[in-house]
Amino acid sequence: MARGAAELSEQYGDASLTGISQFDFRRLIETTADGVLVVDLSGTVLYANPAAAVIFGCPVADLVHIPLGRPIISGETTEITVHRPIRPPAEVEMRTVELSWDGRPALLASLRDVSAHRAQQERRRQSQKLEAIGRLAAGIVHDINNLLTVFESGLRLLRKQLREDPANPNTAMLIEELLKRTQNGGALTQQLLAFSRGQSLYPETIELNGRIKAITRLLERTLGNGISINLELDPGLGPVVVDANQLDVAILNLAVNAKDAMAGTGMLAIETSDTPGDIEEMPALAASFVRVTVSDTGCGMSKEVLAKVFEPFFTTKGDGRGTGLGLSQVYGFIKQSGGHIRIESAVGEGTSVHLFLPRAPRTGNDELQMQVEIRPNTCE
Amino acid sequence: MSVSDRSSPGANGLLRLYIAGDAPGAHRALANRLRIMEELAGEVEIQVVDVLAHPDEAERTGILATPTLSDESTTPPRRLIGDISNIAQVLDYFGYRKKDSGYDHS
Repeated sequence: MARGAAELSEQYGDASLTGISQFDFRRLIETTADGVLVVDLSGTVLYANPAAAVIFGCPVADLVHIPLGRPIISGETTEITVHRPIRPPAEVEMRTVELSWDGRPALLASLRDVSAHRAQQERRRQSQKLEAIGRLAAGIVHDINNLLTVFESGLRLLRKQLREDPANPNTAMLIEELLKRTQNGGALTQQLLAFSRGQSLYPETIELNGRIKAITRLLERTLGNGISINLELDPGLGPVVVDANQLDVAILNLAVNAKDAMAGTGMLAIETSDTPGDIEEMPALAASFVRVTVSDTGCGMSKEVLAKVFEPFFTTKGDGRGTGLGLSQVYGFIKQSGGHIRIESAVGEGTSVHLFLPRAPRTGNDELQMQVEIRPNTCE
Repeated sequence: MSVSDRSSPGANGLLRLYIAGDAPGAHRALANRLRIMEELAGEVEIQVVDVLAHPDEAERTGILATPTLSDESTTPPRRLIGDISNIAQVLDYFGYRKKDSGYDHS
């Protein structure tokens, strides 16, 4: 093992390392929190530090000489799952570089256990979903109250008819009508349940138009009669890779924001485009992204408000009406997806939020870079 | 980095892709599996093994990390661990030659 440390220091013959002894260098590798594996080109482990042994859940001696497989050099961090006896699998970030080991070409894989971090992210996503459900619930209280009013009136009428003329055919019609309303209410609660039960998963390839149509059915029932929804879905839209559940939450958050901006009256438009270059100055975007735009005819936002909309807890809504976490979730979702977000808005002109979502890979290593731009509408 | 000790490249045209359920790398690996098979135009079949569903299989074959693409026609098996989206690297390692489709997939 000391041999390995010595050769590592030769490989990294940087001037800053010249003062470090082989012993110190070995101690450095052996005490670092990241796992370090040296693997030969056939995939056999030549060296493992104690942190790597912890990640793999076995002693260093058991790890050395096993035919693990050759870690892939990709130039960037990749994610692998490490399976170990007794303990649950570990989510691990791996980065691989070439080096010389004992005079032969080999690979050095540095490993970082990110399981705890992943679990924390999952908890955050769950809390964001609960937040969205809370917003949704607040939005449908009015509808539920309307439904209850219909039931109350119907039951009063029914009681009166049963008392005065039980054989009247209107009695049966009234019962049928109330049963229909029950089904309407049931459909609404089922949709809410389906939404709240959905688990936050990892990015997957989805058909965006279908997903938007499904969430729109929920929105139609909750935005109120004063708001119409207009879907303009590009039939040629390619598949995207996103966390579908987070996408639902993001669309919902944008819709609830739009509803509040329109004060209950106006039009919510959801548009998709397979050629996002039509509104972008960067034509290259079209190759890597599709666009979904959520627009409203509401009050719009000033430049000052626009500059702050992604800040957590920033809200322009009155006490008890907003927590300021809606757009923050949208931003987080886009960042997580490797996409872009752009907001266009002007006071009195409404707001358009453009989400650029990564296409499903067709050529492999697409370089996706997150970029956020906030641009006031030029017609301001 | 080249491989020179492979006696019979793509010997039986069968590889196995070990993944772990819904792990982040699993979806990407499955998509790349299709790309590799498409690239080789039927020359290779890649079986998928979910080690969470079949832990005994992972234990039997000694799979410690996923995604792993494995050629088990050799002893010991030739294996690549990690992101297999660099198809050229994958094909080179397993000794396959890219089919000329007249379209540059790289």
